[in-house]
Amino acid sequence: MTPEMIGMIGIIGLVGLLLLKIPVGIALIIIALSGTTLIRGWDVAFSQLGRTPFDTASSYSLSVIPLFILMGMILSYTGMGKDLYKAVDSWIGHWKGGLAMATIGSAAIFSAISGSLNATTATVSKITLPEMEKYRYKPSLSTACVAAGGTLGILIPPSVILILYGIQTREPIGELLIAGIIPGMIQMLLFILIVVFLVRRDPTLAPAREEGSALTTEKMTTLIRMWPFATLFLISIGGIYLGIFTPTEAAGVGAISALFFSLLTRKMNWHRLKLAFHESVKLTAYIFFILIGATLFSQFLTISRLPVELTYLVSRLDLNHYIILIGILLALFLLGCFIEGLSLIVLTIPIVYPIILELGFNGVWFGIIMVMAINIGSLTPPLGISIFVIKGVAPNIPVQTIFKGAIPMIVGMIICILILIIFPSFVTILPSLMR
Amino acid sequence: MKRWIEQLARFSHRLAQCILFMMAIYITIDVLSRWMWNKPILGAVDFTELGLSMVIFLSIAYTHVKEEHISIDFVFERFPKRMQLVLHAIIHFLTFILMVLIGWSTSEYAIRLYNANTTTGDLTIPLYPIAWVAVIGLSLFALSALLHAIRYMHKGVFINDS
Amino acid sequence: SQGIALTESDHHLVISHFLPGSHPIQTDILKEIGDEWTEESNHSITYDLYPSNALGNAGSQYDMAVTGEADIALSVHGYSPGRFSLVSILELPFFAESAVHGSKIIEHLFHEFPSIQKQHDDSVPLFLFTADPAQLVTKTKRIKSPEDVKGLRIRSPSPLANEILEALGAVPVSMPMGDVYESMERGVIDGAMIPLEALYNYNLHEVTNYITIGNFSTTPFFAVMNKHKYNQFSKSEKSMIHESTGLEAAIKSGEVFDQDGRKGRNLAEENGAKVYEVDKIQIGEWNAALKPVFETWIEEMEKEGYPGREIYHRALELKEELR
Ligand code: NA
Ligand code: NA
Repeated sequence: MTPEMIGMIGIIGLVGLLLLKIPVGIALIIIALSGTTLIRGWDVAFSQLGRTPFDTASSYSLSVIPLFILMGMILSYTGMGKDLYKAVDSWIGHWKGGLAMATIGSAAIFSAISGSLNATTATVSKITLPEMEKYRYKPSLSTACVAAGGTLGILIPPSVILILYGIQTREPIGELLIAGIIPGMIQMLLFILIVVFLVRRDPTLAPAREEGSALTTEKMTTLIRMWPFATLFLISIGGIYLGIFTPTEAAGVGAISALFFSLLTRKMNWHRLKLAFHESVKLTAYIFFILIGATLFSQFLTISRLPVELTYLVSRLDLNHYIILIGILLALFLLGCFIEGLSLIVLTIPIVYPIILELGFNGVWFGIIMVMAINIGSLTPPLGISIFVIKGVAPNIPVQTIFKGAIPMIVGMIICILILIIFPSFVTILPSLMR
Repeated sequence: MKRWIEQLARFSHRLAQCILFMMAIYITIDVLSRWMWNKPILGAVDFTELGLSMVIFLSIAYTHVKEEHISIDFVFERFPKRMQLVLHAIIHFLTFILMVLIGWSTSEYAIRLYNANTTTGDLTIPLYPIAWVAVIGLSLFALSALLHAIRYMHKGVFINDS
Repeated sequence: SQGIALTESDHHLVISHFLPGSHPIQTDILKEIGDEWTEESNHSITYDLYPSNALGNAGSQYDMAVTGEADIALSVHGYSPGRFSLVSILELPFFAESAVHGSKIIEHLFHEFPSIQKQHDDSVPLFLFTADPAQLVTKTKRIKSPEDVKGLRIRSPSPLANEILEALGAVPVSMPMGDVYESMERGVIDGAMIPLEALYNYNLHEVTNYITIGNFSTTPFFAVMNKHKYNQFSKSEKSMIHESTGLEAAIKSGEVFDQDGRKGRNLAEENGAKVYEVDKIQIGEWNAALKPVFETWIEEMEKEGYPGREIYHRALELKEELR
């Protein structure tokens, strides 16, 4: 058996184990352990099994996850999330799907700040899902909005993944960061259009506010009640853009500020505080258990050479430039279903990037498209991290409902990539102004 | 035995919450003092890394005690009840074995870290005690999985088929 | 150990490192060495390269070579703090004047001092080398004398560099290399102590306006082989392995960094950055400010039972001899 075949079998085995209701983290580790044993021997697999969990769990850059989650939990348990949705409802609740649109927007903003898909998805779903449920939104729509909105953050600076792409390829990072902004906007617009379309087809998905547009006085009071939320938002985003703290630090500062405001507005009591901390830690353990499994699994796939061989195979096809490009994106999308985004980028760039330049495509432009293609994988089975995170926050919603709900959003993401392939200047115009 | 493990898991979960709080405080004070007195607190990065790993390993056991690690259940639900229970038992037993292996391997890693004298960058805190904390968390996880396995096996054997 | 998967050869090597796959350490050094071995062994030795920490963190690369997770690992000593205290001699100010110079010094020290070898004895060291010396790069503040550094927030490359920066009155800030770009751009930090290679390899030339060249510190690297794997090779294969590594490979790796350092400097200058070189007269000023750092290093090593003073003096001699 070649290592590549073992990699293939591993992927099939993973799907099988998941269907048998084996917890995601456990299934990933079982496959990684057996696959690595087959390819590299038991000793190697065993020492990797001990080192990787500890290394993953002590990663500075991943510390944003529990800290942003803590901030979200505090906001949620003190009802500041509720205030936010009251305001949104009174302003745009009379539109069909208004709250869903607001959710996409807030997920986009939140993930833009935090730079972490997982932290955003966890936090935003904790705040918004119960609210949308209260306004009788169907879970398939509300979870899809959170999941999709969370993917927008990587396109809007700060963006760890685009910086990584820049370092790997030596494309100018400044241009990459700016290049993501318009595609991010287009993507968000498409998500909103999808909500409009879905709600038009099935109005029960998102009932509009019955009493119609709210009175101006109500609009104003709800808006004023949002002040802690707005201040917190300004602190985080202002702090990052003014260079007072790094995005990683913003997570810690955000959590403490949220606590401070909740005490100031007397919305916090001992019981709620305990719940907020309890649930933050629980969710953190839950997410990292999957992340640890995903890391081991991606190390196994790496050593099987499957990702490298697959991308190599596709990019060496003797076909039209655009067909090769689409082939590469397809391969990235497929691999993205099994491998976490950052690892996939570093694995495939050495093969894909030189070929993209050879074909005459723009490197900055490809960076944006590549990141978008890989991002889709966070919403697809079997390893859809965003979906699992939502499931962790809302255990009552069946995971297949969340996966199904995300399908229209995935279509939206594919359309967006096609738009950018047809009109590359959406990506390149801002960077060219910079030069 | 069961209550003892649950209480231990609950206690370590509380500990994890305290550490998370301290991480947030440490970072905030670091940022504040960097900007107000131009004097950052040394070791915020160190503390964040170590803190994160303790938060995670001290809390995974409790999450498993409560059976809250995520799984996909739409195929599973179609199986007969007894088969579901037996499968549950098998899954928990597999989890038990896996956690024993991870715990064991992590303890070997802890020994290597000790022998190599590895520390954090700024504060030179030795890493091996933190790796042992991970081993404790993983052992608790393993034990709680074993308890679940026994419980489901028991239920699966004595279930009324009608 | 080996799994049941088919491998193309008797010895299939997994070579792991933390640098990007496009980095010349992969494309010019590791790949060349690997190809040479494949050819000379008549394809009984083959290899695969795993860049960018694909198999494990930068700080775990050495451990991976110890356990056999990687057959060959390359990384920075300082990423596993505490483990290799002695090579940090190169992190002291004003030792290496270029990467080649630093690589020669570290290779010689390694072969002359058993205590340095002992810190690498759970693997088979192939070669040690250094990056080009770290300089001070800043965005808005020009640095000409130690006085100018006071109060600046500078990203520090290592714990020893923390001491250097503190001795100068700067505020050392620790952060991962990947965060430096945005932190410099937005002003979270005023500057960074980095080799000019990083201006090119981490695109920091985009956010750098002033460069002060004073060789303030140097980062040592290792390339080591798993012991068990090494022992599987025949005598002739072993000598082939040593022939293509050692001092020769160290110098080549140094050249790679010096070259990238020049590229980085050129890019920054094209972008309008001003370069300021600390000259022979001013170096006294810097030396005076940094004197305590040398003494502390020696004391700390002696306290641990190592010949710190001896290593320090030998390094000073080598600095002149190997220039
Ligand atoms: Na972002
Ligand atoms: Na997926």
